[in-house]
Amino acid sequence: MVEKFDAIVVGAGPAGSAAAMELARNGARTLVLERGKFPGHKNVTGGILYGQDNTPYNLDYLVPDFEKRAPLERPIHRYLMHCLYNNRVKTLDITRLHGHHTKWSYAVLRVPFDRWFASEVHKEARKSGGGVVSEVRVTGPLVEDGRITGVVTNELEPIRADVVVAADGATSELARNSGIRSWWSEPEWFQGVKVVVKMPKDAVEERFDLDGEADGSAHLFAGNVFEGVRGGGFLYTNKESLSIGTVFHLDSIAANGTPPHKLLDRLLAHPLLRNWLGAYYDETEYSAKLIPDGKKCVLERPWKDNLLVAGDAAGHMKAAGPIIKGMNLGITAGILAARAYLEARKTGNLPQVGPIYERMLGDSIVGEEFAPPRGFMARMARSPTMNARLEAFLRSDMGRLFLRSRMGQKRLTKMLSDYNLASAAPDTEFTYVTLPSLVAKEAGEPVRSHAEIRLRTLDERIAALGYDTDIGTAHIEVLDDTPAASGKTVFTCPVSSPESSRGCYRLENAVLSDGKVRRQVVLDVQPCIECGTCAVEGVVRWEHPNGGKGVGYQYG
Amino acid sequence: MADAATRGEPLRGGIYRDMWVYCEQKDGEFLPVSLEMLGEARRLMDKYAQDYKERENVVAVVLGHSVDGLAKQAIQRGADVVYIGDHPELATFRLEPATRVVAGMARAKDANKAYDKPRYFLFPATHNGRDLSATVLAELESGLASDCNKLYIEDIPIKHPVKTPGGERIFERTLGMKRPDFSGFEWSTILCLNDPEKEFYPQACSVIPGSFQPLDTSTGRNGTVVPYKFNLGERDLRVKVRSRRKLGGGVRLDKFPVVVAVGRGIGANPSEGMRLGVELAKALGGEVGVSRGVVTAKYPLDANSKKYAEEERQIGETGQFVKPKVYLALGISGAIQHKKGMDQSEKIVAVNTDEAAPIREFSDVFVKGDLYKVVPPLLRAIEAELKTATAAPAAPIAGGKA
Amino acid sequence: MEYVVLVKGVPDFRQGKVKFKEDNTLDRGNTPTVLNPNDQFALQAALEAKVKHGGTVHVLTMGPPNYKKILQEAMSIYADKCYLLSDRKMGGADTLATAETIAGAVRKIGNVDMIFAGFKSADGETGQTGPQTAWKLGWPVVTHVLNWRVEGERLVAERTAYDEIEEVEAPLPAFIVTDPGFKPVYRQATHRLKLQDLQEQTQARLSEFDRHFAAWTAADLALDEKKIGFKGSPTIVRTVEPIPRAPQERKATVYDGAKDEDVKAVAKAIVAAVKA
Repeated sequence: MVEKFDAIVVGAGPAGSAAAMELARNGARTLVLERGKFPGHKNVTGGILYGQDNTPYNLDYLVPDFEKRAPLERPIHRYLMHCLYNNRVKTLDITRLHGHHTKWSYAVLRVPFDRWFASEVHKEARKSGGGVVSEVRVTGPLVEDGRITGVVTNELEPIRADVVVAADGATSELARNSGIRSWWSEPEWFQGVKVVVKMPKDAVEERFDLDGEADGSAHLFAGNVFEGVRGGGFLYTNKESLSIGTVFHLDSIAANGTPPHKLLDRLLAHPLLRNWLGAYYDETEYSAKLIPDGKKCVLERPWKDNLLVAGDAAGHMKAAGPIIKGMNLGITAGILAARAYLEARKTGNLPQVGPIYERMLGDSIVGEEFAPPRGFMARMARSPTMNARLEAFLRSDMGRLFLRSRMGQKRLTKMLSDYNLASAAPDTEFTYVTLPSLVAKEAGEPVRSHAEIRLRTLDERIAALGYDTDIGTAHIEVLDDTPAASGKTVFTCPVSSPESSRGCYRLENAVLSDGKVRRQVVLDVQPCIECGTCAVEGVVRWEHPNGGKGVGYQYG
Repeated sequence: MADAATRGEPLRGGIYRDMWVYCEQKDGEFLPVSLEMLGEARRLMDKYAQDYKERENVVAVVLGHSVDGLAKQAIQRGADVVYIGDHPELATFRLEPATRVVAGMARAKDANKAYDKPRYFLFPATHNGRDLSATVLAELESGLASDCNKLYIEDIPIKHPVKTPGGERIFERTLGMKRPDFSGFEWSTILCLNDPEKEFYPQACSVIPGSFQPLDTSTGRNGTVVPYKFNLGERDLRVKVRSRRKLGGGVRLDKFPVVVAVGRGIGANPSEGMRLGVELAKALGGEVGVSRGVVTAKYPLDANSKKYAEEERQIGETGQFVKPKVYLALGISGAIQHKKGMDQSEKIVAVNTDEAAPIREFSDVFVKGDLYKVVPPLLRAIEAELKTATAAPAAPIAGGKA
Repeated sequence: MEYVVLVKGVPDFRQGKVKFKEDNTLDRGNTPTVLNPNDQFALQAALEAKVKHGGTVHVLTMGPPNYKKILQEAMSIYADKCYLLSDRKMGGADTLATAETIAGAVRKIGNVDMIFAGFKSADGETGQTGPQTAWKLGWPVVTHVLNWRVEGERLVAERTAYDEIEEVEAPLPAFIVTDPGFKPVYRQATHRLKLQDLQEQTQARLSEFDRHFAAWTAADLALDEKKIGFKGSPTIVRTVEPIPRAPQERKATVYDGAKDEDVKAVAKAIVAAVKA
């Protein structure tokens, strides 16, 4: 007897839990399948959880008193952009950008947050015979008579459902193996790496000038600190820790050649940060993930048959300059996936669930975020000619005066705080590197620090992670081990580095039987953090580890 | 007399003779432990004859189908008498019919056996042997010590509130059964003794494979073969074996008294390095393991060596855990992940060119040198040393592996 | 359906917990007693039975009064009801006498369909009590079980023997001794959900443990006193000799692989160690 549920949701992250909560509380018998040992165990964010005022479909729609019940870090009341040119820093207050359509916002740590959210879902879903089951890896769709009718997993017998929601993240096996999307190409991805640095509550509030526990700030870092790699750094204040990281376009990392953890170290070693981090640098967890650049790769048609795709799996990640809207778009999309099913079921029109979902998404903030930028200013912002002119201006004597003047800085801040402009800004070196560098060079103050912090090596960072290795089963296999095909994995992989002995990918000399030496890419899959970078950068067979296996985080 | 024996009631003044040995066979071949037990039984009963000036027999019990051929081997290896229980339904071992047959043999009185029950009974401590020892002794209502590795027969003075309420007395011809206990922290001696109201025979134990030595095959011994007649009813056959398949899981290194571990020190000539490790392991009766580094290095190895560089042979935190008598580490630096898999070994010998390698800190013997240069002469020296030593190298701890 | 799980208390042999006397020998008196680690598999197997077929899981142990805490440990994995078989008359029992006592308890519980036990307790590792208890009850016993299921009216199980896996079938009621490699098999989402529900209830059940607990004496079980305890034990432990644990720190003797006499000395040391 094949088991059947009304709905199967794959992935118990924000998008999956949101979909499941909406389904369950409307009486649908909902099964959530999560690959980690528990929901949240494998999740990490470099972002802020937003609630938007231009949609009802936020977290508070599902859990109105979430602010009392959810494990949240600090609310983000201020957003500062630190332009860096060597040790010169110019800080611009771009809170207005962060506040665009923002009803509320919180820094979060995903392990406790997702765990809480999913436990709420489980309680609700049990009422109608469903629930959240962890340690199950969904490998693909169940296809019967040419149509998707459910899911196939590694740990359970196939299960049928009237609707399946694929919310299994950026690396979604379900969406890919259903033929709805592929891996996306190198320029369509960001890669983020992050560390969580422990810091006593008082120190956080004192160093970041916060007004008690109910206050928090977010910081962006851009300039010439990252060897010209396109992207920037971030820092969010948590209750008793800091989330510090970097997010770069993956193709820029690949072109540059420096391992991402080293670029993060540049940020951590900057005097501005050393002054914040101070005497005792207590770094705990290192993590990384791939982030889809939704502007380039969001799924136009995030469905097939009765399978709906939501969240990172569908590319629902919007970067408007430094503002990253990922989790909340996933939540909105998850809720809409549920509502599409409920509507289709109510009208006896289940086969139409896909188009209904697509329509709802288009009409929602998700559709709005990914609509082509409108307006004159936006078109100007995207124009290479205009960008070149702006750069030329800023480099000129007049431009430099402009940058040094208060009026100029105000205008610049206003421009940088404009959501439409930020959305439309091109992903160029000018935007990420040149502009902030010029600002800091002209208008910034030198920052000095006597604080010495000892950064962890990659090997130490890997050693501190928790793994449940599936001994005897390698979930990634190098198919073409020539440096030409897979050589870039050796430094783009966030847990690999030419000097590291504990990492995943290495370039080695193999001595052949005839005495010749051959350079080959060698993989030790045990330290893998399952981000998917090597799937994009190398020629590999890439799968997730089986349910309950692989890496697990403590903070996320 | 016979009634009491078959009804399982306690005998008084019963007659008990001989040392019986259950010789487990599989697919027509004795397990090595069966021959080891026969060897020890022979030695014990030869000494018994010397000490007590009476000869009693070593009786081998063989169950199976078409196993007559094994009788000769059992006699060669120490048995005076061989009881054969041959039946198609016994081709594959099943606990219930085997128990009935063995208990029946133990109680039978016939031309070959004029006594009530065996005096002593040895079983192999294999999965099936242990189970059988337990149920046979439950059926015969006597005592059993399991997983023994040392036996002796003596007159033993005992003072015990239940066994000797009147004060100390001597229990003659008692089998002392020694076994490692409490996860290897203690060594207990178990005795099976009569009390004033009951006689407990046979005194039985299961024997750890590898504890004893079999007799030389060139003994040219004689003996009697007794085919035992019996019937099996439906109830005896109610448990059925549907199928058997080999365990795909690879070699269990923790079953070997010697482990030779090969590390990245073989990088200069991987196939040769691996070959040296294999030779060393063979000479010492051990097996080959590898460090994680060898698994991930993906050395181009020749056909003979390839299978050793697999993850299933990896020793360490994410691999196998071993604590053999001797651990030989060739070209292994001694990273903490590897150490965790082997640092409980009794004796650790490391060969490494680097005197400062971490493994030196947890070795008993550190040989500075290139393994390609050290292992060949070491191998020759070991072979010479083994020849001068009196017995053959220890067999693997668990029987049955080719 | 009624299931019985047999559990045992053993010294805690884990690194850091086990205590040693000054001469590096086991200090049993000061080493805490815990649930036999292999019993967790028997408890998981019984829980699996309950998830798939419903019923009641009865857990029992034989020991002194303070073994109540062993049953509490067992319940933290799973138990519906717990029984402590405790009586002076049961003391000093070897496996035959223990089997007799346990068989009596199983008969008292009545209508039992399956018994589960773990392989070889860590202390006194005998592996006999299971098969002997089954034999006294007249039940088929399957040992070294890796997984099991019910097909129709029969038990089907995979067990290890030699270097093989056997699939055996037996009529119910049956006795299962789990192998340390035992894994419950849950391939239905509804079973996993039910398993979670039962595990969540464990905390609540533990907090009112006494409601689910009973202590039984030899008289309660109507046992033949001659067949239990010291009196019913054919074997005795004559002597116990301590085996000191391996030295924690090693000091390496360094040899030069290029010197002939060094190589010979190493070979001698290796062969001596192998023979020891």
